[in-house]
Amino acid sequence: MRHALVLLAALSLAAQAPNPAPVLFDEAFFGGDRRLILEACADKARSLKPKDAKYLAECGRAYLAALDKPKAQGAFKDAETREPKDGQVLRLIALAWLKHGYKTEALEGYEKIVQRDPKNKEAITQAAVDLAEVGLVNEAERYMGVLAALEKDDWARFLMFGRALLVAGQRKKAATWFARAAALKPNEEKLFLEISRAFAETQSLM
Amino acid sequence: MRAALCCLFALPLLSQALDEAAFKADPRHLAGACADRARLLRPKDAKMLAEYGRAFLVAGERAKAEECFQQARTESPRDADVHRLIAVGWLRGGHRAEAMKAIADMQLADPKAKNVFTRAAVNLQDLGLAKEADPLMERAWNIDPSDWQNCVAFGQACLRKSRREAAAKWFSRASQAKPQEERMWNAIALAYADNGADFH
Repeated sequence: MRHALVLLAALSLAAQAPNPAPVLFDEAFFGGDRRLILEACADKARSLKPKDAKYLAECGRAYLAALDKPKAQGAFKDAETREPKDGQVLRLIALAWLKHGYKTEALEGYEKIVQRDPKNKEAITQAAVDLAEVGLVNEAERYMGVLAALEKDDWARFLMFGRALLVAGQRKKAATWFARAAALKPNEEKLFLEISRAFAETQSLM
Repeated sequence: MRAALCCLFALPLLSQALDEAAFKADPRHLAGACADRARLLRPKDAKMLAEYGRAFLVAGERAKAEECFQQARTESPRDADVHRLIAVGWLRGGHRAEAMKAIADMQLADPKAKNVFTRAAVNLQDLGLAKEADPLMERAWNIDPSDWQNCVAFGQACLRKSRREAAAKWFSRASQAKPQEERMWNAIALAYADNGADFH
């Protein structure tokens, strides 16, 4: 009887409480507060695709940008629980931490790739590129070492890493990787086009 | 005969190794040297020719650049993306008049190429030519208002240049085009998270 009364009281309170107004995603909304936009779009993406670990990881990144760390951690945890051995998911989580200045969490996240999905060349290369682009060159080179141990002739990935080093202003280190790629594939026009493009695009940085 | 002569001239260049020291040289010179080498390996792809032209412009070799651009146009005159790449080459080299001529050629070559128009609008926006970018993007949108990816791409470019109002307009159009598309919401969230920076 007492429980029934409590339930009735709760129901009547719930009926009185105003429902939160649905978000109207119009031009005014997108021109408004950045944090609100981030939260609302991430919430919407998450509600439409709640079981996809990659989306969860990316929503977490949006929550971090909106300075909602608990919500971000919740999304990352969900993502990691769903796909604990998927290097791409682990990399997205680590990248989110890295982009928002959480270096320790980021490095722990990248390390999980090597521990749990040690043959994922794509995720390992991306980890190296992410780290190089923010200037963590020694850490980045360690991941490239892991990659080279898996596949010593992967010129396309060496090229990608050289480009990241060039973007980060590490000309000498970039030269090492470009030379390594060129030695592996001296007659590949895409390689030389990519290198010329990298130098053309980064000329203002030098 | 001419092709055989070209091959003969190319052989010494192709046989030269590019070692670590070579990649530490002057970046402008390197851009040109790599473009030279790439061009000798496969001179028939119009898009690649357009990109070699861009590298030659960076290297300060305008004559070689113009030659590449002309070859690219001859190879694929109806491919709007080739004209866009030529425009980008001119734009990055600071040659605005030539760039706008290529943008005009692009629209004539394929008047329905909405994705190429969007990419060109993004290029113009990124290089600070918002007034030229906006009408081009409107044209792309008029061809297909349901294309949310193009709206998001341009909105993202607007954010990169801190054009919040313009970005809001394009994100709003994207959300109206496909409100149940989770990739769209995710892309908008990440665009605001990174202030429009490209995500890979």
